[in-house]
Amino acid sequence: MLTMTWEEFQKDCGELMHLSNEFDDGWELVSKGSDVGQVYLKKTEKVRENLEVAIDMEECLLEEPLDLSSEEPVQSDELITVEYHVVYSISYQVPMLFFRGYRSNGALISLEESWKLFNATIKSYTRQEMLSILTQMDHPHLFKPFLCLHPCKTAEILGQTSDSQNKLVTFLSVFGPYVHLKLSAKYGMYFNEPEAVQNIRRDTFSR
Amino acid sequence: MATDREVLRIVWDGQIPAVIHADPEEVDIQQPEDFYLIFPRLSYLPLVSDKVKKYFQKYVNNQQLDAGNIWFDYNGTPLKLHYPIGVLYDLTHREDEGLPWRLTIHFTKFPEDVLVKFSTKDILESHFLSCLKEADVLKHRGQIISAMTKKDHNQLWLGLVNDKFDQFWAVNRRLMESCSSNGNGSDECFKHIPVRLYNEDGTFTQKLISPINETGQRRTLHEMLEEISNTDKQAVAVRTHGVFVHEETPIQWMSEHLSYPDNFLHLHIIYKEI
Repeated sequence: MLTMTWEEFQKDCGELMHLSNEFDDGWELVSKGSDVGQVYLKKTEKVRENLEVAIDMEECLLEEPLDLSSEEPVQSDELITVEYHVVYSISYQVPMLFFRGYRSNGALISLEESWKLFNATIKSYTRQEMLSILTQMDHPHLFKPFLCLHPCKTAEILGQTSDSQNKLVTFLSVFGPYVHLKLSAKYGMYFNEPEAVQNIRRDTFSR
Repeated sequence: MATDREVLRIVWDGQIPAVIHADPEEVDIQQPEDFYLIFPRLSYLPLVSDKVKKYFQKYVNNQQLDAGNIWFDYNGTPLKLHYPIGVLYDLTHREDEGLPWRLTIHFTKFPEDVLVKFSTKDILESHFLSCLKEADVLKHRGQIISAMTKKDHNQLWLGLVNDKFDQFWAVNRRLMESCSSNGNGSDECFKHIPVRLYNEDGTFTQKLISPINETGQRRTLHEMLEEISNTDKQAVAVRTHGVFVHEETPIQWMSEHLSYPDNFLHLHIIYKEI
């Protein structure tokens, strides 16, 4: 088990922001006050993904066969704008990943669509399993619904990377890719991220 | 102590008389009569609104209907579906409005930017369970909830859903046991108290609050209020389950007896500007 104090979280945020300014990759530090937990990181990314459910795909195919020879992304892939927030959990004393996705028509992505986004990166989980991994919750500072990766296993997983110099970077490299948040490898190189992270990532959510 | 168990029962039996009104813009032709009912304070709106939904559904314009995502407002404020009903009432109800609590039901235009969606009950169940987990992380480093079986988790949820006090408390009392490893062992307490401190505007903050003070005594509510006061505002009183709590009450006792089924104390803090 590996937890972070609020001071460690702030220190790691500071280091990440320092590098982000150098790499110019768009991380922002948001401050909501001076109490414990009231500072978080934010980043917006464009993600390409097909959110239509499989049944819809079949219907498409019947009406209009896809040109498989084309190298272009299939038409049903759409550009989704995702806003990520990395927040400190006072109860679990670990970072937590919140996000909100907007589809090209401006609609918020739903819970089931977010599971599709999540499952695109790994094997499929049952509905019951997904309900314990990724659900909508109120953002702890904005009090608006955000999608959220549950923190109950975070400390255990971070514990397997105890020689990390920046636990926040380790957290983001392990959990980010599940929701299309890719941290540049340059961060890992800067902090000598242990190779173990690469292996952990593969079986984070394994049963 | 028998008296303490009575407190649990009184808290469990807390109720709010309410009347539900249809949104005139959603009704087809005829405005339906209002619907009167009693809400259990400890439950959640999606768990107690099946009958209300069934009653109003037939009056609502079918083309707009999204029966999986009904929501309620009080005086224009959308009510969070994952807050216990008693918390919503204490935060929003204005005394001069009297009783019953007057809510409007909506079948359309779900305010996605404001309310978390609970289209099916299993989503609310998973939310409830994640609150229990978080509370147990604070109280016992999560060791009790993770040692429980799926059957125990089900029993907690079904006890709440079906309003079965004995069924719920048969499992919940294990989550309310203190650990002796804390402090010098003379007084058994939780590691931290799971508590949400609500402001007037319905937002809340969480803090790590120990049930033991610096001198090794049980921390009282008064001491906790001093701790959360700052130079701008002073916390002067606390309301929960519709009542003001006496300042000398130890917060460990409050946690064991006044927590909602999600194992959190939901405290409405009254502040005084300095």
